[in-house]
Amino acid sequence: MADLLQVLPDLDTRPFAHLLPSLERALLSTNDLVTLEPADVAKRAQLPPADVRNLIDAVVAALHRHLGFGAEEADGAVFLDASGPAAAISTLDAVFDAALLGGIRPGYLVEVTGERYASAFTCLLPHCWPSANSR
Amino acid sequence: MSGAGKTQLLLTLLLAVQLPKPHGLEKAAIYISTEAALATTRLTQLLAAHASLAALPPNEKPSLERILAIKTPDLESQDHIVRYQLPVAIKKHNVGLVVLDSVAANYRAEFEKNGVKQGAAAMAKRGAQLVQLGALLRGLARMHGIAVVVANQVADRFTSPSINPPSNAPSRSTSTNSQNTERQNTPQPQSNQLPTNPPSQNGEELVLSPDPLALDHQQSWFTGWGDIPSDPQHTLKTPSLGLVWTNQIACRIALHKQPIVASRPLGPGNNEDHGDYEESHITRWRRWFKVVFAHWAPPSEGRGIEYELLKNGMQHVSKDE
Repeated sequence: MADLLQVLPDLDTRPFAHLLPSLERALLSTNDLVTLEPADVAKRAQLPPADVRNLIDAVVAALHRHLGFGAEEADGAVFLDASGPAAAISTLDAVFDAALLGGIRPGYLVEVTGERYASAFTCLLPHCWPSANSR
Repeated sequence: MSGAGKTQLLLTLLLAVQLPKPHGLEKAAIYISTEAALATTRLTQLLAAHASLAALPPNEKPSLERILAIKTPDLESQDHIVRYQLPVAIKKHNVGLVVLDSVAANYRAEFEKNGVKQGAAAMAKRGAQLVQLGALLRGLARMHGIAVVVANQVADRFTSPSINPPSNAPSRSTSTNSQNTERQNTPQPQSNQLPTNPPSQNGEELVLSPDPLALDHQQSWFTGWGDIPSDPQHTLKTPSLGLVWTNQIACRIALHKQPIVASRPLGPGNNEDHGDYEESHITRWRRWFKVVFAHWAPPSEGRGIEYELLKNGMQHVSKDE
């Protein structure tokens, strides 16, 4: 269960603190917790099934929140607001903005690609790196 | 100023994000560079000369102080900065835009140093790292409601002669028309493999393309180059980092450029002593801005929007010129 800290760093584990050492000893990961039957998990870790079920519910809910779903979406709200028509970063050219329906939208990963300024220096630069990096 | 205009566009965004609502988010920006440092002189130039920035009153004007810049010389530091320092900085400085310029540079340097021997293994490792980087950046964009814009480079596209039969020209145009609607679809993973098996489809599919599942065929609709059938093969480019990276991004904007070549006598007849006379005949460049795909906007039609790179920023060229 050591990976729980990595998967869900914000999860409040205090209510489940008594379960984690046993789960760790049984070599159960967060992945197992979500994918296996709660009864099987409880059996493997020798824990009360009701407690294990509570932990699994908390983990699943937290994972949903992380993705922007769930009843109380604290993080997701920002994303949903951003998809409104008002919020966008303009390219400061009316026609470009029209093509992007407003501009670059927040909440997304965007790539700009194109040929680079081709001088002799920048052409040769990539060939210098490999030798510079190998010691 | 003879690049395609990537940097100019990114610099404009760094300033625009600071503007109030209709144009920006009224937030600061972070610029992570892997090659050259932030071009502050060009930023000041842009700030002073751009039509919609110069007119602003001083208290509304974007400021260079609200652009944080950091340099990442290698992949290790890039990973550390993106993973640990960036989330803190975004919160602390009320950031609305993160620019990574460029995403490919560090990968190229790190993965070419081992030589060709371990090429396949290195590429597999790179693929996994690219997925991680993509997930990280997408997570930041979503959690903090910010835009993450990465610059990518292009390489010349090499097409193997085996998939270029004489019937290619007509087949290409047919497929462009029939598959335009599928432009945003990402191809299946298996299309990444080289087309080793002979095209055993029936005649109807052969009209479409010799190998419609091949990456070489499908990439015309997501790389940004190749969907205009009249373009000569040797001018086609492919953005770096391949299909794995393409699947990480929500929007790709391609900046095209094409030379305008003048007729032979350019100056007063003194150009014969140069061996590289071909270069000197390029009088100017035509440039296009093209939305290849975006989650929130339709792809550009044809070549996109023609524009000029001027001292005061990027400006579209009106059609009726």
